[in-house]
Amino acid sequence: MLNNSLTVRSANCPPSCNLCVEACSRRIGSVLEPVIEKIDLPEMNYHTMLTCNQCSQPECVGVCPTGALSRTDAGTVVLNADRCVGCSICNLVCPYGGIYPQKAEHKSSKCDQCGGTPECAKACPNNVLTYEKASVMDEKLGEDLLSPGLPYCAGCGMELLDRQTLQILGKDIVLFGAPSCNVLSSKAKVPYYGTLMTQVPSSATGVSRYFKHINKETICVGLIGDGATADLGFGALSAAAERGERILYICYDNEAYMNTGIQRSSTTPMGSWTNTTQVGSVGRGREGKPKNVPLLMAFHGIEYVATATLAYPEDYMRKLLKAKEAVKNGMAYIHVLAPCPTGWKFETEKVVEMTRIAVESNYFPLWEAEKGTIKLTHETNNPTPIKDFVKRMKRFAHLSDQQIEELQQYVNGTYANIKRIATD
Amino acid sequence: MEITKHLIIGAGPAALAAAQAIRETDISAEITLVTKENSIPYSPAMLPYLISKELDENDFFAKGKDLLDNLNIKLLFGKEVVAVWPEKNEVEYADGVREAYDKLLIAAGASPQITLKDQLPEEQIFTFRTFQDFERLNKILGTQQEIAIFGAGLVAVEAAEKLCLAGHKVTVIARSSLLRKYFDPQNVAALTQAFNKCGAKIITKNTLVAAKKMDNKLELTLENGDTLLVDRLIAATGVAANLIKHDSLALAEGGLKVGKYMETELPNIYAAGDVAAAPCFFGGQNAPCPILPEAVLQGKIAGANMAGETVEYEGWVPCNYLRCFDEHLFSIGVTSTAEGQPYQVVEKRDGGSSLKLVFDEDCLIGAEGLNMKYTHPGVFLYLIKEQIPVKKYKDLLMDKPKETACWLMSQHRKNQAI
Repeated sequence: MLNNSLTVRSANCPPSCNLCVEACSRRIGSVLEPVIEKIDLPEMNYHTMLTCNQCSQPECVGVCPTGALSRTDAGTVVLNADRCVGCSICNLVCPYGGIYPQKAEHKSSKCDQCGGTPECAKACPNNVLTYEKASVMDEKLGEDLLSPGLPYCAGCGMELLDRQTLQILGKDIVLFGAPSCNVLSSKAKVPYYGTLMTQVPSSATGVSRYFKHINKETICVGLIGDGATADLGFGALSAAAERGERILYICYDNEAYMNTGIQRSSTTPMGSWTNTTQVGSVGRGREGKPKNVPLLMAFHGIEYVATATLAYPEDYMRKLLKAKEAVKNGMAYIHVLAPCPTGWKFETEKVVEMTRIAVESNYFPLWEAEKGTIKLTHETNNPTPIKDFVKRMKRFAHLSDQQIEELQQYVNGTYANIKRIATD
Repeated sequence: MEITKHLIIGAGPAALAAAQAIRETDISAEITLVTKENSIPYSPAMLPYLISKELDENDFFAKGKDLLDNLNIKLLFGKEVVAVWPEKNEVEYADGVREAYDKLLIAAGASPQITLKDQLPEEQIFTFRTFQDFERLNKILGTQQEIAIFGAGLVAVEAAEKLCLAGHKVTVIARSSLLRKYFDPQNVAALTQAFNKCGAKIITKNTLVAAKKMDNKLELTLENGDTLLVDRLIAATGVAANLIKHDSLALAEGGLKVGKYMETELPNIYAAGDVAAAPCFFGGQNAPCPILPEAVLQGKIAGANMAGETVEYEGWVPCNYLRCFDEHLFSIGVTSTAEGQPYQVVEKRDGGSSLKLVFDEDCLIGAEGLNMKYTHPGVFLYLIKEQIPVKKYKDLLMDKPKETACWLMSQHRKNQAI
C-alpha cells in the first residue's frame, strides 16, 4: 500500500516565512491551534517545519492508552479527540516532535493532512512543503516482471531500479543490453536482446524500425551501464539520437566499469579511485572531468531526456511515464545514478541514502528536457556540501582538501550551468 | 504449515503490543491472552480518568476491543497461571488444568503491595490498579468524601488529582515527598501548590502506622502521632511484580530477569512489561521499569522475537509525563544526580517553568521539564537514546531547547541514514 505524503524540504525554508503555520490555523475556516510549527535556529542557519511524520509504525499509536490515535488505511495517523484524555504519553515518545499538547484543553492535537488537501502545502510558496501523491506509483505500477533470484552484489540498487522500470513500462517491451552487471536475459519476464557493448542503440534501432513497419507499439528499451553508454557505444547512441530513433534508452550510471572489476569510465568522478586510476605515489585518483552524458543528449534536442535516481522513486516513475509517451515520436533518454557498493566502497545498506545525498548536494541534479528545453525537477536551495557526500565512500577516502574543493567547484559550476539553461 | 501457539500471560499494554507484533509477522499464529481479571484488555494508566469521567467505560475498553476484533486473538478471562512446566512447554492454571504453548510470554504486570493488612479488614483498604479496583471504589464513593491516599507515586498523585476534581477532600500521605523518584523537588512544589489550591492536603515525611475503624469512619494514626479521620483509605505505596515462579527463572530487583531479546533463561519463555527485569539503557543492570512506553516497547520486541525475528532491546530509559491540574511535568533518563558523579547538570528556572539537562561528557543523559510542554520531550528522549553528541551546543540547547533539539535530531537522522 502506497500513501500520499506531505514532504518537507527544509533546505528551501526561508527564515522569515510563517505562511504554512498561518494556513494551518485557518484549516477549517475558524482559527484553530496550528499542528505545524516553524523552527528557526539562526545560529545554525537551520530553518524548517515540524509536523507529524505520519510514520508507518507510529510509536504514538502504540503507546496511546485509549486508542485515540490510530493509523488509517490511507496511511495517515489520526487523533480521535473524543477519546483523548491529554495524558501526553504520545508527546513523550514521538521522536519527531510531531504531536502537540493543546493550549486550550487537556488534549493532544496533530496533523491529519487536512483529509488529503493540506492547507500548509497550498500556502507554501517556496517548495518546502509539497503534498506528493502516490497515485502515480499506486495506479501505474504494474506486474512485477523480475524473476526470483538476484545476480547482484549485496546492497546493489539495480534490483530496485529494474523492478520499478519494468513495473512502469509493462510487458510490451523488448530489452536491449550488453555484457554488464545487469544482464536480464534469464531474469526478466520480457524479451531480452543481448548485444555487444558498442551496439545497444543500433540493435534497438533495427528492431524498433521493424516494429514500426508491422504497426506494433512495442517499445525497444536499452538498459545498460555508463561504460557502454558514455564510452564504447557513445557514437552509436549519438547517431541514434540524431536520427530520432524511437528508442527508450536508460543508462544506469555506476560511474565505472563495475562488472569487469572497477575500471574508470568517462563518467567516473574527479579524484575517484578505481582500479585504473590508482592512488599511490604517482596517482591521486581519476584526473580530469567526467563526461556529462545527459546534458549532451539534451543538446541533441531529442523528444525527452531526464536524470533520475533511487531516492526519488515518484520522480523517476513520472519521468518513465513521460519517456514512454515521448518514445512514440522519437528518442527518449534517462540517465539514472545507480551507486555501486562494491566499486564505490560503502556499506551495503546505504545505496538509497547515497543517491539522496548525491541529489541534495547537487552532485547529481534532477532535471528533464523536453525537445531540448531543460527544466529542474528538484531544487535544493541550501545544498549539502560535497565533503559530506565524499566522506561516505572509500573511493574518495584519499581526497585532499584541495581535491574536495576542486570537486565542489566542479559541482557548483555544473549545477550553475544547468540552472542557467533551465527554464521555468 | 505448522501453526505456532503463542500464549501470553496478561492482557495489559505489553501483552497487547506483543500480540500485535506477533500478528504482524505471523498471520496464521494462534495467539491467546490469559488474564486473571474479568474484563477485556485495557491500559491501567487510564484508570484515574474514569474517576474524573474524562473517559467513559466504552472508550476505556475501546482499544482492547479493537485489537481483539482485528488481530484474531483469543482471550481467556479469569484464569490465573500459577506454574510453568518448561520441559513440557505447558502452563498450569489455578484449577490444575494445564495448557500447552510453543512460545510463552509472561506479561502478568504487577499488583499493589497492601499495607496495614493486619490492622484493617481487607474490605476497608482500597487499591487502585485494576478495573475491578475502580469498580469497587466507585461503588461506595459518595460525594464530597474525605479520602486518604497512602503513597506518593504516579498512581497516587493521579488518583488524588482526579478525586479532587470530583469534589472529594483528599489527603496524600507521603513517606518522603511527593513523586520523589520521578521529579525534582522544586517542580513537585509547583504541583503541591496546585493541590493546596484545590483544597487537598499533602503530608510529607510521615507515614501511616495504625488505622482503626470508628463508626463509619477510619481513624488513621501517623508516625508523628497525628491522627486523621477519613471516609476511605487508598493504599498506593508501590507495586510488586506478579511473578510466576520456577527454579530456573532468575529474578532481578523483584522482576523476572530477561536478556536483550526479552528472553528469560528458560527456552521459549519471554517476559515483558512491569513483571520483567530488563537491562537498563544506562549500565545494563536488570530491573523492572514499570512505565507504559517501556511496557509497549518491551512487548513489541518480545512479540517480534517470539515470532521468529531477531530484534534487540536497547534497554529502558525511565521516562515519565505527568499532566496534573494544569501543570505539565516530564522527566527522561538520569535526572537526579548524586554527589561525586561526573555528570554536568544545567538548569534554568523561569517563573512557572523550568528545564534541567544532564550531560555525561558530550551526550545528553537526562532531561526534566516543568510546563515545557511545547519543547517536544520525545525529541529529547531521541537525543538520549541515540546518544547524539551535543558537544559545544550545550548552551544553545539550554537557551533554545526546542529548536536546538530538533536541529540535533535532524542532523543525526541526515548523517545516519536518510
